[in-house]
Order: sequence, then C-alpha cells, then structure tokens
Amino acid sequence: MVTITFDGKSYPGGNESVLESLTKAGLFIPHSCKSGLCQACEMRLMEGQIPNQGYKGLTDNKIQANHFLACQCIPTQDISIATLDGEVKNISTTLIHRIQVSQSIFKLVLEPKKTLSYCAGQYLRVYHSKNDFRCYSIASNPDLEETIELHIQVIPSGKVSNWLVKEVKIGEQIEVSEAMGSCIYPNNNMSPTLFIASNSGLAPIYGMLKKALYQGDKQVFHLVHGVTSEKDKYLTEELRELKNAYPNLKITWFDYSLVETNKQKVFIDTALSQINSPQDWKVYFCGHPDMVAYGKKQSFLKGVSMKNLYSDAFVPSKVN
Amino acid sequence: MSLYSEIGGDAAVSAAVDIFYRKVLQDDRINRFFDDVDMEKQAMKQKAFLTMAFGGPHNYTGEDMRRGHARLVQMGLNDSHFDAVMEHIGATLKELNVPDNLIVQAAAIAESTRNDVLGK
Ligand SMILES: Cc1cc2nc3c(=O)[nH]c(=O)nc-3n(C[C@H](O)[C@H](O)[C@H](O)COP(=O)(O)OP(=O)(O)OC[C@H]3O[C@@H](n4cnc5c(N)ncnc54)[C@H](O)[C@@H]3O)c2cc1C
Ligand code: HEM
Ligand code: FES
Repeated sequence: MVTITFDGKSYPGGNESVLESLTKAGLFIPHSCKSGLCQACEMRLMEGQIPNQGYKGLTDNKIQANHFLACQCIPTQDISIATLDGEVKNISTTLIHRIQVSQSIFKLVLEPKKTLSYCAGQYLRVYHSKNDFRCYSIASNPDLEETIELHIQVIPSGKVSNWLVKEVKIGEQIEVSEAMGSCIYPNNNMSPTLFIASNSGLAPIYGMLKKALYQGDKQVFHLVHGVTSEKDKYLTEELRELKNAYPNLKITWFDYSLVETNKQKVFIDTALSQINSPQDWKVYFCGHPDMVAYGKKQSFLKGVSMKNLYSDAFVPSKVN
Repeated sequence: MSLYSEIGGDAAVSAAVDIFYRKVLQDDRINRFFDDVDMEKQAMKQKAFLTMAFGGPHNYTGEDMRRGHARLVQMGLNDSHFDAVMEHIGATLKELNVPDNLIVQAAAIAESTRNDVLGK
C-alpha cells in the first residue's frame, strides 16, 4: 500500500493505476483510453519516483518536466502529484534589476530566495495577488544562471504586465511558482533546430539558445524573430555577439509592420523557407497564439514530424 | 502473431499518425472535424484511433465510440466522411509498405466500427 498525495489530501494506492485509485476515491481525473495512448490523463509528479511504465509514450521533454500518465502509473512508493494546471509550490523572489529594452519590452531579473530549478524554455507563474497570476517564460540558461530573467511585453491596460514594469520597486518581493511547461531544450540534441519567436516569445527561446550553444551543440540553429515594428526589436546586441561566437547560429529578423496583409503567413513562410529537409528538423514556436497555431500546422504539413514540434502559446489570462 | 505486431506495433502506429493526420488535414471533405486548436492532443487521439484500427491493445467499447463521435455526428458526420477516413487509413498503410493482406484486415476492423462511429 502506498500513499498518493493530491491537492493536499492523501489517498491509498498501489496495485492499480493512479487513475483508478483517484477515481475510486470519488475524484474526476480527465481520461479516455486508459491505455496510455490519448494522453488525456497526463499529470505531474511533484515528489517521489514512479516506474517507467508511467512515462509510456511521452516525449523526452515531458519526462524531463516530470509529466506522467495516470492510467499507466502503478506507484510502488509514496508520491505527490498534481494536475498540469493544478497545485504548485510557490517561491519568493526579489526583483533585483529592471531595464526597458525596446519600445514595448522590459527585462526583469528576479533572485529566488531558495534554489528554483528549471529547464531551459520553461515558464513560471508570477503572482500579482494570491489567486491572480500570469505566466512568464524564463530567459535564463539553467546551466549557468541562478537568477531568473523575464521579458515582459507591456500590454495596454494589462494588469500584471504594467504592475511588473511600473509599480513593483527594485528590492521588493515577487511571489512566483516553480517552473513548468514542456517546451524545453534538452540536455542532448543532435537535430538541426529552428526557433520561431514573435515579440516577447524570444524570452524562452533566448534561454534555450544559450543552453544549446553553451553546452556545445554543433548542429545548425536558426532563429527567426518577428517583431511588431523596428522599435520593438530587442536583445539585438546580445544575439549578434552569440552569432559571432557561434558560426552555427543564423538569425533572421522580421518586421510585421512592413507586411500589409496575411502577416502570419508571410512570417511563417519566411521562417520555414530556412529549412530544406523538414523531417530532420526540430521546430520551436513561442509567442502569439495565432502565430503558434498557424506555424505549427504549416510546419507539420510541410513535413516536420509531430514529435519534433514544440510550442508555448502566450495565451492571455481568462481571469478578467 | 497479432495484426498489430505484424504491422509493427507502437513504432508503426507512431509513424502512421504523422502520415494519416497530414492527409486528413489536407482533405477538405473532412478536415473541419479535425481542425483542433491543440494539434498534439488531436494527434494523440488519432494515435488511439489508429492503434484500434490496427488491432492493438485498447479499452474502447462500441459505446465509447458512439459517445466519442456524437459531437461530430451533430456536426454532420456521415457515411461519405467515414469512407474518406477509410481511404486515408489504406493509403497510410500503403505508404508504410504494409502488405495488402494486412491492410485488408486493418480495414475490416475500422469498418466494423462504422455504425457506432456514425451513431446509427
Ligand atoms: C505559457 C505562457 C508564457 C508566457 N510568457 C510570456 C513572456 O515571457 N513575456 C510576456 O510578455 N508575456 C508572456 N505571456 C503572456 C502573459 O502571461 C500575460 O498574458 C500578458 O502579460 C498580459 O497580462 P496582463 O495582466 O498585463 O494583461 P490582462 O490584464 O490579463 O489583459 C488585458 C487585456 O489585454 C488583452 N491581451 C493580453 N495579452 C495580449 C496581447 N499579447 N496582445 C493584445 N492583447 C492582449 C487581454 O485579452 C485583455 O483584454 C505568457 C503566457 C503564457 C500562457
Ligand atoms: C474508421 C473508424 C474510426 C475509429 C476506429 C475511430 C476511433 C477513434 C478513437 C479511438 C478516438 C479517440 C477518442 C478519445 O480518446 O477521445 C477518436 C477520436 C476522433 N475521431 Fe474517430 N474513429 C473512426 C472514424 C472517424 C471518422 C470517420 C471521423 C471524421 C471524419 C473521426 C473523427 C474523429 C475526431 C475528430 C476525433 C477527436 C474527437 C474530439 O476531439 O473530441 N473518426 N476516433
Ligand atoms: S487515459 Fe488515455 S493515456 Fe491515460
């Protein structure tokens, strides 16, 4: 008999899947196939270890982010688990640096009070108040940086973005969650990789790009950064330096304001024109939800394999 | 040996999902049923779908198929759409060089779900 801790309560488990144990206890956990195929029952392991079967069919990235399938996991020791958008541990940080880097974007640096472990490309929740948070992607490289760099795009009349760039003072505390998300750059990757970012979507991609290049990955990397207008371009110096140090990095900037119609199409066509053998490439998309959805579909139709597509859509919060 | 392992098991299904889903998204007769905002989720469902059609291990009942496709029947899902999907299953297996006698068996499994899928 083992104990499954979920949402602050304990449930008996063992000899059956986590899905069955929680369902018997009267909880509703989304599921469909109960065979490890549909991934509707995907959850996150917070503490403890589970047998490998629990990771059946998940991508390496999801495994690295501690995701597992409740219908496939028969626990053999006590575990603590959460739904993907459920309970998280929070960590206190101090705002130690803030600078405006373009017309629309501020760079913030947070220093966590205790170690905050994260993978390159993950995001965390930033809490404005107890139940009011927004997600922001981490632009730091976990191999070298302990502080958390964020790129905040100021949204007109946006509550949390304006609070972060105008109201919080240097030295003040900001509550964040642990890192989450499975759009990450792995410790081992041999595939040529295309990174597609729109505006502050560059944040997670900058973190991933630093990790990839600093850990010595030698394959071709291509970054395509789309910005609303020339004045929204940022991080250009840092990126140029990276490019000079690493000849396997190519960078293309794209100015949305120079395109009249079908902006997403022109942007994605430009980005995808960089790759000639799509079946070999990994492609990452971060930023505006429309760009991400359109870009993923076009890449897939062009021949990029589903398992090589990674994305974080910066979906607006539905709290308001 | 079961049909599923003869076709190539989980690895074959994974390869088949990419090919099948690409065909479906490009087919104007049926792509509106599949045009999900979350492509990965939809692809995983197609994986469940193809595992079933290839005779692989699954826990779906006819009732599950009815319930799972009821939303699509309301959107107008009918025999012609079912036929289109059958075409793509066959073409996908052909592209994977699966022998004809196995394709016939897979097609028969898929065909056997017709009434449940169409809510008849
Ligand atoms: C996984 C994830 C990662 C993210 N990472 C980042 C990041 O690294 N950097 C970053 O700047 N943002 C990021 N976001 C977006 C961020 O979480 C907030 O949605 C954004 O900052 C707006 O919050 P707000 O409180 O300022 O505006 P709200 O008060 O929540 O919204 C105000 C109004 O603006 C609208 N709105 C929100 N976003 C936009 C937009 N982009 N364009 C036009 N209108 C908009 C809302 O619908 C609403 O009507 C991420 C989102 C997700 C889901
Ligand atoms: C040929 C026989 C068919 C079989 C064996 C089959 C099987 C399945 C299975 C197992 C699922 C996954 C359910 C889940 O886990 O949620 C599914 C989902 C789905 N099927 Fe089918 N299916 C068949 C025919 C069709 C046809 C003809 C269409 C439309 C043209 C279709 C469209 C879909 C869609 C869109 C989903 C996702 C449902 C959702 O997102 O809610 N299927 N199918
Ligand atoms: S219920 Fe389908 S993978 Fe678990």
